[in-house]
Amino acid sequence: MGQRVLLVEDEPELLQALSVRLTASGFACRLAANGLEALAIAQAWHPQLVIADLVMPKMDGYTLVQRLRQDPATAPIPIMVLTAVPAFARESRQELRGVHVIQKPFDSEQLLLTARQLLGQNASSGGLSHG
Amino acid sequence: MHKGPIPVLLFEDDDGQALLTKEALEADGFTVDVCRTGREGLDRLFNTGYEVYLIDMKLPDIAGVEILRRINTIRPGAVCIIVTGHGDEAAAVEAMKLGAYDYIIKSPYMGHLTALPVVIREGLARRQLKAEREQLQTELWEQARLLEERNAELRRANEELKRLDQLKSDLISMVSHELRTPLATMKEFTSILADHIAGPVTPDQQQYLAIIKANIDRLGRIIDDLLDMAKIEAGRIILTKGFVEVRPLTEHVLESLRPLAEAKQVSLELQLPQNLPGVFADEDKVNQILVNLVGNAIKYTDGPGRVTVSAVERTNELEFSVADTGIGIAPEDVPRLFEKFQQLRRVPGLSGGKGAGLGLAISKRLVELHGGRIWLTSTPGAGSTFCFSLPKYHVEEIFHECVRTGLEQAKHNHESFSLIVTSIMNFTEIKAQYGLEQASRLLKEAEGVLREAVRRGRGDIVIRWQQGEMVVILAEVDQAGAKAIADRMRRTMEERAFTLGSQTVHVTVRATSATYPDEATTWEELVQLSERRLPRPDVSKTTILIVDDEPKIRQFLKQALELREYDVLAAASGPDALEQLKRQPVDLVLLDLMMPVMDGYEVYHLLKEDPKTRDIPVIIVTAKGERKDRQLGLDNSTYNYITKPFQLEDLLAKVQEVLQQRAASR
Repeated sequence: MGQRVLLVEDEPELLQALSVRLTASGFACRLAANGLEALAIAQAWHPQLVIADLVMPKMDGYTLVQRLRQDPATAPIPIMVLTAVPAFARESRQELRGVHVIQKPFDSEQLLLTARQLLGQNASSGGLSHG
Repeated sequence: MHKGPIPVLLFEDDDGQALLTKEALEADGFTVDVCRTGREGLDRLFNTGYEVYLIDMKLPDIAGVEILRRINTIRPGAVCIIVTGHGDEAAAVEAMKLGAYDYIIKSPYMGHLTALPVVIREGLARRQLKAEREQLQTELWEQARLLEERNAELRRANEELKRLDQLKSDLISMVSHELRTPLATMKEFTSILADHIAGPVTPDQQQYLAIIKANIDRLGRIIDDLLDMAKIEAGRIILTKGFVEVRPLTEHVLESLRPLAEAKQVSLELQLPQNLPGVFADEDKVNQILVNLVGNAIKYTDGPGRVTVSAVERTNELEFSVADTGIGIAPEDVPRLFEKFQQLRRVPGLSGGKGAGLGLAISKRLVELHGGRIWLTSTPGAGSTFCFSLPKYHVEEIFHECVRTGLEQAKHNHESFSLIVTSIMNFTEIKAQYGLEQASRLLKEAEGVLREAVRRGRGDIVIRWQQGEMVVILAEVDQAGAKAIADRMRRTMEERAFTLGSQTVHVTVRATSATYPDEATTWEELVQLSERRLPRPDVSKTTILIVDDEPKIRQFLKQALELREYDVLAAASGPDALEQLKRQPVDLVLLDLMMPVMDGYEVYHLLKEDPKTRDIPVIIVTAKGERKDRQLGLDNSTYNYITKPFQLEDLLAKVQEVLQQRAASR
């Protein structure tokens, strides 16, 4: 069983593309269409990495990051944000401190590399205790 | 004012009084109607207006005060003057409170009648003044109201602008998001296919997928350019300026574009002189400018060809150029080249040239944001050279800017702010023994050590001069904290073994600090205080005389030299300088050439003629082209020049050099 990655994206087609790509690379994926769904899955499934969009209905990525960080059970999970929001529009957002941000459109190689790095960090800091 | 006789209504029940008053006034430019009772007078009042009302306080039917009240009601602003008998002053004063202009007391011998016309005229004059004042007041009110209206309009306009600005920002953000999201989906599925994740792909299909991917990437770059342009125009680009080293930056740009160039058989060359200073710029933006220009150059050059990137130092700036051996640009296209959405003229068979046409416009604006210029020369068929300039990195200016802004920030946040100056005391010896290049390396390494030590606090490090002095700028550190850090730095540096070549070098370090608000309140005080605390035995007690007729230059040089612990005298003219030299010996004279009364040549000759001053070294400060060595009758070994405009560092180096020569010759 691969490492657990939670994908959060409101564009169903991009969500599908991410899922195909990451599954093919050996990860176990769960999918969420917004922050609210993601939060529920994160609490029940304990993913080892969350890859999330920023602009989403119901609960956006900023709030999702905040909520994940507030809950001790989900706080250590590394988060990668994939967004089409330009850098200048999100520079002032405190919520994204310490979050790895990748600008859309992205390169698959870069996405996979960053995902593996974040998962590696997590493993070394003992975040795998849920497994 | 009233023209002709002034109509007066007189309330007077005594016939004799009435007649005399009427006569007296009519002889003096008034016409007078008389009424013997209050009732009669008030009736008249309704029909005719008078300029002036003279009211006897004691009428048989109606009290004078009551008449006054009624007149003021019916004819507001009328000039009423009370005429009253002796002993009734109290009533008269009361009447004044009710709006009478004046009162006059009847004298038994009618003496008051001579004064009456004057009193009346004064009253009229006062009314005139009052009317004017009221008019003025009304106008002022009106203006104030208009001003308030304009202000309100401006406020509304301002709010509207802010709203539009936000809207523009939101729009840029939204458009970016909406365009990039579908691109991301397309790109990801394309690469899923290309990576065989969805099944096998034939070589032809592989090639087509590569074409799709290349075009998605191009669209992405066009969106980036459009957004950049929109951001620049909305004033949303903020430069993060700092020290930018040219060589690594240009090498990196060329490396990143090499695959593109090699595919077209275009060679990339870099020509940088030794000892090129850095620029004070936003590194990412300079990178963007270079990528744009070099990318264009490659695009418009057919192989075999060459693109050369070079940089040269000018007085205050660095001039970069990107030269190609490509198709060149038609002269008629040159003026439009830096405008938005301009495509270079399509050349048949040229596969590049497809984009939003924004690269040069963006580059131009980015260069201009830095205070630089961009231009080009081109020969159709032979190639083009694009040049741009960026301001040089002036250590002193940047240092002052850092301290100034840091201190402002601290004041604003009600925080402490400290400067720590560390100096490698044996830097001069190290420089002499190992050479400047090695010594600079040591300085760089030391900077790394300091940076490590500062890491925990919010701070910055600036290396000043070439004398081994480093200043650490720290926010939020109080006096005790600064002293502790200074001490830690000194120990860390001294315990460390630096290696130069194959040898181990130990440094002797002094570290001092100055803290706002405990010890100083302005940035200048902070700098001076922290530097004064550094022991500097080799330059102390050295006196320099500045001779210059320009007060600003005197002031500037005095400050700069005093900052280096020299004692400084200043003279505004040649005679002044000679006078001062009689009183006090100096170690060095900085002499301006072009001065009124007595020019620098003359001063120089007089100094050299006098045995007392003959041995004082002189540095002649001269503008380009003023040098007339022959007039001075000098040979190379005895004079020292510095040419205006000069860098402060060069002057200080010259001063040190001359002082050292003098010390050695003794």
